[in-house]
Amino acid sequence: MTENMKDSVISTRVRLARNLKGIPFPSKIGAGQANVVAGKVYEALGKGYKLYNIARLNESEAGALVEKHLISKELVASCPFGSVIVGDDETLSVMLNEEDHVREQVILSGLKLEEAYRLVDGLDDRIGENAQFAFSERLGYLTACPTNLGTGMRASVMMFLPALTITDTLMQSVNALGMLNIALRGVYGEGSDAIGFIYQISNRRTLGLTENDILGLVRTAVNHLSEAEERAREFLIATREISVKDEIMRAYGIAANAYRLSNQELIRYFAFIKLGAYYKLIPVKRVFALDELMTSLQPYNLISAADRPLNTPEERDVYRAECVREALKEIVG
Amino acid sequence: MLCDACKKNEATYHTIRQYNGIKTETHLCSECRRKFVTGGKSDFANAFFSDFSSAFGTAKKKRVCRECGTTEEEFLNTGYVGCENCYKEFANLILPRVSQMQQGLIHVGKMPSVAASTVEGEYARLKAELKKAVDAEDYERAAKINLKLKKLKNESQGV
Ligand SMILES: [Zn+2]
Ligand SMILES: [Zn+2]
Repeated sequence: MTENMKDSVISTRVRLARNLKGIPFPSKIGAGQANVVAGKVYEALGKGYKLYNIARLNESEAGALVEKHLISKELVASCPFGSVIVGDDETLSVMLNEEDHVREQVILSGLKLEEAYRLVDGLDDRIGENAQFAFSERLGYLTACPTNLGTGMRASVMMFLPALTITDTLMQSVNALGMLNIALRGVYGEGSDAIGFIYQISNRRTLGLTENDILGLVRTAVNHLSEAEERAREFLIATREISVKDEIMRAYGIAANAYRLSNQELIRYFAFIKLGAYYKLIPVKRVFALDELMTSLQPYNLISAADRPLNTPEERDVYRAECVREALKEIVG
Repeated sequence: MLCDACKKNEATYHTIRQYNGIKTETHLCSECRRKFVTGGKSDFANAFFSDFSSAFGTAKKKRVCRECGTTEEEFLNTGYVGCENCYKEFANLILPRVSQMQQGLIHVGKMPSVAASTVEGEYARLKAELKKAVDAEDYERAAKINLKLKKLKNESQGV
């Protein structure tokens, strides 16, 4: 079984937090010093990368970067000197003057912890050649928040866990991981519930263990949850076959035919279409195409890619439905 | 699962921590997380919030970092330090809690190329490796590292 076959894993992200020696951390930094930070890091990378000053982006440009997980909401909302460097293929990015001076990250689709670390490690080496990091032999990389000390590393995996959510056994499975000190967070759940059944699993500890240790424990957690999810899916179809099938086929029916689709509906229906693909009720050719499509249909990405101005929610819902109808013809069949 | 705080919304943030064998679970909705956890405070401040206030509530909060001006009170409130020197200035506040929430107090991961290339850097790296080997009760490996450490010490004295 290749890693890509598991639809319970959507993507892998590895992030390293760094600060530059001799410059106050972002909460105490001035505009001039913030520019020095951005300059040094950008200089180290150069060709193949673009630097964006967040203050100079408009709302939808910044929002599109957040939806692609290239920058955090906090960088836009509360970092006056924030900027970001994005690699041409949008795999590598570096946030500047967010909580720390430098947040290097790599996002890859599927479960690719080692590869993601290898890439971000290389990026870190290049930046480290041009800028001296704040580092203590005892505490490792010095970060603005002590929760990131040591490796400064957060390895996270985005997972699709519908059956564990529906059968209400997710926390039970996470509990079994107690000793690993893993954090779990719902991704698309503003206020209400985890509508897309998508969660982020990441390490809590950063100091006193190596980068490889961290990758190993996140991998263990992910494998454990994937297996639990698989068992829960079998249980679900065995115990509630009609309602599961009904829910899936209704979701597909609406998504493929609707002329108006809100983002909340999109997230929910896509989750059920993916589940339908798993149960072979819907012939989806590439499950990852659904994940990519979902990102491209998030509000700000939708606006920036549209062939016409989308000024009202109504216009966006109509355009979203149009995109979904077209895309599903390609992806399913 | 409902949010621990408001008991109204569905919880989307789930955290399980294990400190010295005591397990704590927190389930929050994003609204409550914003209110209680993020709201200008770091996870670090949140994790030890009650701890901080009870232990240091009325005690003198006079210290200030000479380099960046962060005060002790500011650090206790936000959980963020303002510069690398803060770690020295507030070491007695930070380190006991860090050792509780982290795996230990010694970095054993990657080092910047600049630090690793110095003798001190190599020495620290070996010492950390030694500790790991001892913790894992791999005494054969520990002996080997010990040997390397001795050699390094002699070499650096020779220079
Ligand atoms: Zn709540
Ligand atoms: Zn300071």
